[in-house]
Amino acid sequence: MNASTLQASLLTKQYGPTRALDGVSLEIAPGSSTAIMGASGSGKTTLLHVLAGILLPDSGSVTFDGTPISAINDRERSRLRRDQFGFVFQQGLLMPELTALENVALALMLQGRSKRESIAPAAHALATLGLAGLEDRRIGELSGGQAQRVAIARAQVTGARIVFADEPTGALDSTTSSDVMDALLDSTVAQGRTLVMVTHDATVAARCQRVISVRDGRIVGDSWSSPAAPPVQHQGSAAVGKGTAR
Amino acid sequence: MILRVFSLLSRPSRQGLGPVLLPGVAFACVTALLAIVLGGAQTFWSYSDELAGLYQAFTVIALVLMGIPLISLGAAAAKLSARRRDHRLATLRLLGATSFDTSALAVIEAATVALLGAVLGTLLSLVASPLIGLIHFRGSALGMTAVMLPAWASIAVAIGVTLIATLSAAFSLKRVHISPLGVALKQQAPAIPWLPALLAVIGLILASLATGNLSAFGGVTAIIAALGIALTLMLFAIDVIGTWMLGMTARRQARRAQAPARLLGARAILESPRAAWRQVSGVAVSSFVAVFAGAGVALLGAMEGSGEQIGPEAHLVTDIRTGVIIVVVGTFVMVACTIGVNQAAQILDRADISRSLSVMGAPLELQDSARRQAAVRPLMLASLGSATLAAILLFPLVGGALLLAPVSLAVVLSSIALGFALVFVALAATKPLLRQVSIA
Repeated sequence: MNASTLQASLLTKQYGPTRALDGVSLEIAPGSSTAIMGASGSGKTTLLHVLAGILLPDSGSVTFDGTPISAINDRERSRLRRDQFGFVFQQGLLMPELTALENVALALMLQGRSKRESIAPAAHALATLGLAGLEDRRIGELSGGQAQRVAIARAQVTGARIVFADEPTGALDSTTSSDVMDALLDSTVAQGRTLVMVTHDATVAARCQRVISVRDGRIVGDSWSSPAAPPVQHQGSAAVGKGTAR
Repeated sequence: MILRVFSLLSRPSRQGLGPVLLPGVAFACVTALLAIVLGGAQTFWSYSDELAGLYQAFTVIALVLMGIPLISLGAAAAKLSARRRDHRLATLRLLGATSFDTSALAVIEAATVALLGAVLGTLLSLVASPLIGLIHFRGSALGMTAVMLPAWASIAVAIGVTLIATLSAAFSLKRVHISPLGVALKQQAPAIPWLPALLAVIGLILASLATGNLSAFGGVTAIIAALGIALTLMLFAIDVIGTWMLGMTARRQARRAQAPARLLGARAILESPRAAWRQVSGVAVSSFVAVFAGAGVALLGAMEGSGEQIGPEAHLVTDIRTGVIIVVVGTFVMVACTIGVNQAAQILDRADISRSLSVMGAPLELQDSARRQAAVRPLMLASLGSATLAAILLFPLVGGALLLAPVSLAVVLSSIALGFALVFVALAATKPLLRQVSIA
């Protein structure tokens, strides 16, 4: 796994009169897990979307491995998301007409692989997440937790270096939520990948190494906690793990 | 309560006016065409010579052809209407409105859009009547007053279209589930039963036997009624057989697909082969009829060349050609409306998934290609399959020479080409909506 880093500098984003991001700067270290917490409307989802290149900031910049995400065109950002990033959403947002296996294989097929080449790694990813035997089920035939595991498999099957998760446990009960978090951490941080997650649930956030609190578009808290220490040193960066509010 | 809430919900939604305008314009086209055809029909019903029955039979065929796309259009408009209201209807459910209340709201809205469209369509038919009056039948222009429906008939057409659209909306909403958490199409495992297809084949054979022995039904009125029933039966049989064949071929394609667009296209069809077929059922109808019309025109052309006709027969060939053109153009306008509305409804149904695909880095072209795949396969099956079926049914009656006559082939191929062109226009017209919902 190559080391990678995501850096954001002085991000601003305005929706009408509402300032969703107000001069946010932060750096995400490779192989770390980061939870972005905040109340509804705090700007946490906007921050995730800007970091992932889904939204463009009004000002400021985001770079991934030296590539200025906020400066490249839409096609290149799409390629970056397809090849380097993985996504897990609250509702999974899986294709209902595809089977579990096809949903996972689709991520590889989008990279240009044939279905034949994609099936084996997709099946392996599902099996790793405890879904062996459910490959041919359609999404509507799976439980919420199972569907979310399919979404996790889809996010990591491509070898994505960063997985962005938006309230991945938001629609689940506490037991299933804990299982899904186990799966998410096992398939990302435990494999040397980076996890950036938005949540409003403190219990879920506590599973991550780092918790960033956002309020009114600013970072108002940034703490490292157990179970892991902050990762060290990345490509000479001295500011690893540091978030600043402006 | 429902009507009070309805007025509140009539304000424009976040998706803009498109989802209202699209079915509204579609209903306007349908009503205008129906009024024009009925206007022409009243002229033909005033004939009393020996060819009057033939003219009236063709009118019945034209009306049957318009009925099926009209029902499909009503269903599509209702679904689109429900999607437009998704958050508001779901909020009402949260506030305690019953499933009946929210369904009634969706149906009332579809009916209102249909009524407005029908009124617009009636006005359109009146505006178009001077032009329609220029069309020649029996050697002279029909005249504006001849093709204008009386006021009571115009009102009846508008009410009839609204009523059919309302019933169609109510029926189609059985598949839409409005819960406090949102509106969704009920997800059902796709089933492709063979028994209805077998029964449809039997029905098709019976209907073709009936059309081959129309004289056995006695008087002209009975023959016209039998022709109308047989044609309706044939069209429904094609609908069932086409749906089944489409499901089977899509299942095979889904297994074999290697590229994402082909896989998504095949799976989209398998999600509901019936919906995929309905989208192009009008093309199936037109292609089926085009074979009959092509052979008929070739036959009449041969008759025309064989000797001098006098009286009403002198204009029969020209009149049938004119009628065929009117029917084909009219049917295709409805097909275009249906496809446009269906595509818009599907795009809105799948907005969240389109957005997630876009987030994953799937280019818009891939999604566009997938829905093109999902439309073109049914289209190929509908046009070529129906034309082949019609040729098989017609072969014992008219022989290969007439079926393969240049004029027959020209009618059939131009109809199919027009069908394809319209589908591509409808896909292109709804691409901006896809782009809009895909924006991450």
